[in-house]
Amino acid sequence: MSRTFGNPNGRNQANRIDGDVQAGSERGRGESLSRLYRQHNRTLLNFLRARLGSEQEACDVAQEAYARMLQLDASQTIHFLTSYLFKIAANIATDRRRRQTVADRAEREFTERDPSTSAAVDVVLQAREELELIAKFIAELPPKCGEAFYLHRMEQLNPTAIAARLQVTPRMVHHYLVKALVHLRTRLDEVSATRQPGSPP
Amino acid sequence: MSHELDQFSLRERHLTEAAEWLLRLREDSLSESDIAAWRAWCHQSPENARAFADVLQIWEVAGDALRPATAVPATENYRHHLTKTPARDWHRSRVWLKRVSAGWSAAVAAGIAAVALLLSSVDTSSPPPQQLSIAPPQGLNRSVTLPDQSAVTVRGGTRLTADFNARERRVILNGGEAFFQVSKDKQRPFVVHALDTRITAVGTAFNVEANRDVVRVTVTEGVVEVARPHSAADGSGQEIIHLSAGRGLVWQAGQTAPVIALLDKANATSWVTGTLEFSNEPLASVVEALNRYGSRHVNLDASLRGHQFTGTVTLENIDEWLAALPTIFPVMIQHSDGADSIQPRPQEESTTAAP
Repeated sequence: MSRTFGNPNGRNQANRIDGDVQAGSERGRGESLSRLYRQHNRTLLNFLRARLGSEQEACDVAQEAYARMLQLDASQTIHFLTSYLFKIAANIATDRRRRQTVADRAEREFTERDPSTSAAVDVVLQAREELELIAKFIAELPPKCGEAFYLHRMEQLNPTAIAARLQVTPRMVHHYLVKALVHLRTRLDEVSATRQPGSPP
Repeated sequence: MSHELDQFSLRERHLTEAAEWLLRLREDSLSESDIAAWRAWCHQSPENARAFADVLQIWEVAGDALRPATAVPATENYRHHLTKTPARDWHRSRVWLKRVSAGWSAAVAAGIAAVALLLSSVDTSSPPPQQLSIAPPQGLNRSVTLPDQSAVTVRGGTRLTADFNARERRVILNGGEAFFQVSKDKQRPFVVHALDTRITAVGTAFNVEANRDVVRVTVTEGVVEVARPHSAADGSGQEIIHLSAGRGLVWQAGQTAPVIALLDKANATSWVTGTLEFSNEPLASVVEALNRYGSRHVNLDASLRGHQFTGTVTLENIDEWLAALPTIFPVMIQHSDGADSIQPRPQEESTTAAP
């Protein structure tokens, strides 16, 4: 397989990986979906996590996508089930993203992360430490870079909108976002690799 | 050492590709073939798959770190979220984040969270030997508290190893620069080894920079002893210099004695705070300093090297300094993927004369 970004032969490669089948009957579709789930659910979740930024939402959307696949007209012949599943899931995710308002999001996340509902206190404390570290790493980013990252991550602005707001080119915004992600992960790697389990923070 | 650097740049490449894929997946114009190409890339190697999972994880967690507890109007600047008091009891995070913005000494406190300790043995009768390795990437300084409570700020691109035992606090500087604030410990001298030079301190603050063939030491507090073996034929003895606060020395390889000068203390260690001040400094030195401490390379056309610059550059805002440069000098800035270039500007209209 050649290493190219945006491979124009992607569709063929997808088939090689999946072994897609046609599913003409309802029962056939059910079986195909089970196989789809077993083979590709994790990938689907990763894809949705990328678009939505939350594992919880990714699970919700994935479920809805499978449900919609099951409800499809049995007489329809669908080639490349996997691609179809991802396409449906992408559409549901986009709808969900558009419907959200800032207030909705904040309220939902407040209840999601209420420490009093967590099982173990020390797990909460450890998570809090990690979040503090991540916040520090984000603060290390140069101002426009960090601003671009925030706008993309928290306000769902696309690079074109961010470019207009920051008065830079969309290409620069893309560069900022890649730089931010690589910086954050690299910093987390540095801390994780060197910290001994059980050693004081 | 080069093997480690290769590992670092390989990983950086995988992370960069993974980040590109993450952003691609988020595009409005995402197509089925994009998704298939992404999956193919993930399957290509375990490093790719791992890099994507890692980037995805940090992407998710970053949302949690940035999220305020109460709804905030969409127009607010992201930095506001980092310092805004959360509605819930995150007192620790609020205090901690305030300290982060207070300067490099605060970064030391924050650096406690990032210090690496490899305890090679547990011996309760004396402090256990401790080894610590600090190698921040180019453009990022790292501040760390050493096991003896001394503080060190390590410049990006430097490799530093601290090797403490019951008799000696030894630090090895393998190229780069670091600023030390040494805590008093009469039992154990604090010794920095930089190339073949030894810098010994008792309770002081000093800066050491070591390149291939030169060592520079600047003392801001107290006194340090700088020693280098004689290059005499019999190989015996050492040249020893005592350097006190407000002084610096530059010792070239092969020179029997260093050059000592009184220094502007603020500028010698201003890289620690991230602010560089220049007074009638040739652009060539300004750019050289930016390339040393910044993460993005700046090229300077040879014809512009002599222009003198007076002013302050914040390492965080090199982009803005570059953007403003054409208003001071007859230059234009060209941006490309890896570097920025300062080029002479074609004289189509007359502007203020160059100095």
